[in-house]
Amino acid sequence: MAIGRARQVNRGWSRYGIALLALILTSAVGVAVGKAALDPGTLLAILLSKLPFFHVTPWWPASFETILLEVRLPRVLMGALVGAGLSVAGATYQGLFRNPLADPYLVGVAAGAGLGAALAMVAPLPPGLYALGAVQVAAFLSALITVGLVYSLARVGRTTPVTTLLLAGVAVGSLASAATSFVMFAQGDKITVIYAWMLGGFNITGWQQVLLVAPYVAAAVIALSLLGGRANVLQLDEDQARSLGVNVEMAKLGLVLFATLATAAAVSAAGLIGFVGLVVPHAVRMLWGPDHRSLVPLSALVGGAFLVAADTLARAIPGSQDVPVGVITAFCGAPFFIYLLRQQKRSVF
Amino acid sequence: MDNALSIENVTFKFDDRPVLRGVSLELPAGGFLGLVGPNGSGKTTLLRIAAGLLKPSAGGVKLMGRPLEGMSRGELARQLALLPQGTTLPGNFTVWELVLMGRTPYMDLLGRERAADTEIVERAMEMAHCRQLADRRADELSGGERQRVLMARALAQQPRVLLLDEPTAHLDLLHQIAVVELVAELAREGVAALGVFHDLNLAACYCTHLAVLSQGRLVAVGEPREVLTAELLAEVFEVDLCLTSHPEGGPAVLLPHTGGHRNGRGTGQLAAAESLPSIDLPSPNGKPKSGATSAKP
Amino acid sequence: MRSITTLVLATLALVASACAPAGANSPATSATSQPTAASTTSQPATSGFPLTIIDDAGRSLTFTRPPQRIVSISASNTEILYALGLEDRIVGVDQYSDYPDAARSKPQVGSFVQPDLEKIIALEPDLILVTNIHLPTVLPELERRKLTAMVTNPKDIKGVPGSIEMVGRITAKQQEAQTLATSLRSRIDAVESRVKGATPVRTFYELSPQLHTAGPGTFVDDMIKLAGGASIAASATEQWPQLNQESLFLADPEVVLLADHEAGITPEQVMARPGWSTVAAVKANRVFTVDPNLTNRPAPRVVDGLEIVAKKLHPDRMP
Repeated sequence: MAIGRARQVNRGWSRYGIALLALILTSAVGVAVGKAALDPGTLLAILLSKLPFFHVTPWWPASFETILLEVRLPRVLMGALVGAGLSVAGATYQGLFRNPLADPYLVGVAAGAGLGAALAMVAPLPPGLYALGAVQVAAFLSALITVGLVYSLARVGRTTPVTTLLLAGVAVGSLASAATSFVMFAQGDKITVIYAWMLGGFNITGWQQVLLVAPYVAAAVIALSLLGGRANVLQLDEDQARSLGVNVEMAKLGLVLFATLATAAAVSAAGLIGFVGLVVPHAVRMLWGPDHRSLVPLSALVGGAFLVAADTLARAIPGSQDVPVGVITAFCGAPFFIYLLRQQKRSVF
Repeated sequence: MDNALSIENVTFKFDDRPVLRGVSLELPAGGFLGLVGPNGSGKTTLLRIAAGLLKPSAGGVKLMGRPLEGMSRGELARQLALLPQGTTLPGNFTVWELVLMGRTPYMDLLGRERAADTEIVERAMEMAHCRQLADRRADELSGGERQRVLMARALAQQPRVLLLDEPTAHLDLLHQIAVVELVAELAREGVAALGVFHDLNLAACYCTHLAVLSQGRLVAVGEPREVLTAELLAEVFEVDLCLTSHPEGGPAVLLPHTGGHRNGRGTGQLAAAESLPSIDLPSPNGKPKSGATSAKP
Repeated sequence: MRSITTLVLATLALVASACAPAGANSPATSATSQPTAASTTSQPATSGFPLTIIDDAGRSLTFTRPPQRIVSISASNTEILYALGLEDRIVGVDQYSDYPDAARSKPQVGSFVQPDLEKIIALEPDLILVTNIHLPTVLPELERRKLTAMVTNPKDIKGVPGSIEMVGRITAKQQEAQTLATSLRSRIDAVESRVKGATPVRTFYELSPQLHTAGPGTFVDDMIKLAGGASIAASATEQWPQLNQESLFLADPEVVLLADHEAGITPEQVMARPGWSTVAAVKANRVFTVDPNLTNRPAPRVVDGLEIVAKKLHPDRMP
C-alpha cells in the first residue's frame, strides 16, 4: 500500500549513499591537504608504489612518504573513527536521556579518561610501557571504570532510572575532574604534559593508535545500530517500553555500554573534542529523521566526515603550529546550535 | 476454555499502605469488562498489575491460563497490549513510526520491518481512524489524535487482550463513541478488553460486564444493569444520581438530579447562589455588591 | 626610637656604599635589549640607600635599606638569591623552588601560580620577588596590602645578568652580583663567539609528547639562537605552539632536545616513533634530554643550560 512507500523518499538507501560520499570526499581532501605541498599526482604515485604490482621510481623525498603514510593517512582515518564514535555515542545518549543537550561526555567518560591519563603520566612506569601506549590504555580503562561506577551508583532497586544516571554521571565526573586537577597540582612539573594530553588532537596519531581505537568504534556503531529499534522504543516512557516487550534494563545497559566504549576509545586517543557528539546527531535528525536504526549509522558517517573536514581545515591554516581541532568544531558547532535553538517553529527534538 | 485474563486474589501494598486488597476478577474471552470506581480506588494499579508492569504483593494474574510471571516480556507483549493514559510521546517521531513501534515484539534482531509489518500497521491505523495522520509529527497532534495513535499502536501489537486506561479521555463525543464501539467490536471478534472508565454511562452501554472497585476492594461485578444501582452509587461514589431507563432498552442511564437537590459530599449539582459563601465581587459600575473590601475593577 | 635606628642604618649604608667599588652602579649592559630597562639608580654612583630603582615591570621602588626578610615566589628568583649568598635573608619560597637543595627546607608559601597570601603576610617580608606571571593576579593583591614586591622579567638570556644585578643592588650585594653577572656575560659571549659563523643547526625542542614546543619570543627560542641553532618552530604564530607533525618532518631537525622526559619520554622512544627514522636527528642519533630547569629559568644556571645546548648543537666547537 502507498503510505509506507511514500515515506521512503527521505528514508531510503540514498541517504546512506550521500553520507558515505561525504565521508569519502572529505577524507580524500584530508589526505591531499597538509603542511607539505603534495600534489595529487605525487600522492597517487606514492600510494601506488606501495601496492604489490606497481613499480614506480620515487621522485619524491623520503619525508613525503613518511608524511603521507605515517602522518596523514592515520590522521584522517583517526578523525573519521573519532568523529563516528563520538557521534553515535551522542545520538544514543540524546535518545536515552530524551535530552537534546546530551553529549558523549555526560556520564563521566571524559573526566574518567583524563584522570586515568594523568595518573599514568605521573606514575613511575618503566619507559617501555609508555612506548606501548600506556597512557592511552590507562585513559580507556579509567573511563570504563568511571562509567561502571556511575552505573552502579545510579541503581535504584533493580532499575537504573535515567535521571539518576544523569546525576550520578555529573557527580562522579566532577569528582574525577577534581582529582585530575589535584594530580596536576601535586605534580606541578608535569602539568604541561598532562594538560597537553587533555588538549588532545590528532597531531601524533599513528597506525598503532588507529588499530587500538578502530575495533571499539566499529563494534559500537554496529551494536548501537542493531539496538536502534530498542533505542526508539526507550524514548517512550519506560512503562510503554516494557509493555511493548522491551527488556528496558538490558537495553539501557547495552546502549550505555557501547556508547561508552566508543567514547572512551575516542577520548583516550584524541582527548576531549567537543561539539561533534552534540551537533552531528541533531543535523542528521533534521535531514533524515529520528529513527535510531538509521540515525546511528548515518551519524557515524556524517560525524566522521565532519571531524575530518574540521581537522583538515585546522591543518590548512598557515603556520607550522597545529591548531586544536576542538577550536574548529566549536566554531562550526556553536552557530549551528544557535540556529537549532532559533528553530522555534518545530523543535528538532 | 481459559479466561483471557484471570486476576486471582491480588493484593498490592505501596510502602505498607494497602492499595488493593484481595481482588479477584475474570475476563472471559470475547469479554469487554469495564473497571469503574472513584479516584483512588486502585483501578490504575490493578490495570498495571494486569499488564505485568507491577508485581502484586500477593496473588497473581494469568493470561490465557498461564501465569504472567512465567512469561517472557516479548511473549507477553505479543498477547497483551496496554493503552496507557497521559503518556509522553517523543515529539519528533511521525505517527507512522510510533505505530510501527507496536510491532516491536515481533521484530527480529535487526529491527527491520517487513512488508507484513507495514500492512499490519496500516490496518491498525485504519481501524483507529488515524490513517490520515501517518506523516504528522507527534508534537503536532491534538489530545484526541494522540489517543487514536496510541490505540493504533496497541492494535499493531495484535493482542489477545487489550487493557485500556481511560481510553475516552480527551476525545470528542464522536471519537469517544467510535473508540468504545471499536473496542466492543474487537471484543466480539476475540480480543478481550479490560478498560478503566470514568464515564459510567458509556461503560454501561458497551461493556459486557462491569467491576466496581472501592478503596482497593472489589465491591461488585456483573452485568451493568445489575451493578449500577442507586445504593451502590450512593455508597461507592457518594453521589445521589437519578437513574432512568434507556429509551431503547439496555442498562440504566445515570443522570444528575436537576432543580434544587444538593448531592452528597462529592460531586453533584449545586443548587442556588445563596448556598455559595459570600464573595465580594465588584459590580459593573465599580461598587462592591456587599461587604467591606472594595476592589478596583 | 625608629628614627634613631633609621639614622644608624642610613649611616652604615652610606659607609658601606662608600667602600663599594666605583663601578658597582654601572648600567646593565642588557639595558639595550630590554625596553623596560632595569635602569640604574637615579643617584650618583657612590650613594647607597635610600635607593630608587625601576623594576622589570616599569614600577618605581624605593628602598630605604636592604631588605632583610625576602620571600621569593618563583624558583628562578630563589636561585638568584642563593647565588648572591642571601640565604639567611630568605624567609619563604614557593613549592617549586627546588634549587639548591637547601631551598626546599625554607618555609613554603604555596604554588608559583597561586601563592598563599596569608602565609606570605605571616612571614612579615619586606620584599617579595615576583615575575611577570604574577602581574595580573598576585601583584595587585600584594600591593593592596602594602607589601613591597619587585618584578624580575628578563626578556632574553642576555637580560638575566641584569636581573641579578638589580637584585644585588637592592640587597646591598652589588659586589657579588657584579662578579656573577660579569662571569655570566663572559660565558655567554664565549658561546656566541664559538658558534659564530657556523651554520645554524635545525633544532626541535620538545615540551610534550604531543609535540608542544617553544615558539618565537620565548626564552628557549632565544637560547637556541644563541647556541647556534635554528628552531624549527620559528614560523609558528604563538609562543607555545603545538608543532604539526608534518611540519616537523618537512623541517627535518638535526637535533631534538627533549624537555618532557618526566612524562616517560626517552630518546630511544622518540627514535622509535613511526616515521621518525627518516628524521636527520634520529639518523645521526642526536636526540638528547635536557633539564628544563636549566633552559626555562631566568637564573644563573640558564648559562649552564646554554653551554649544554651549544655543546649538543656544535660539539666540535664547544669544549
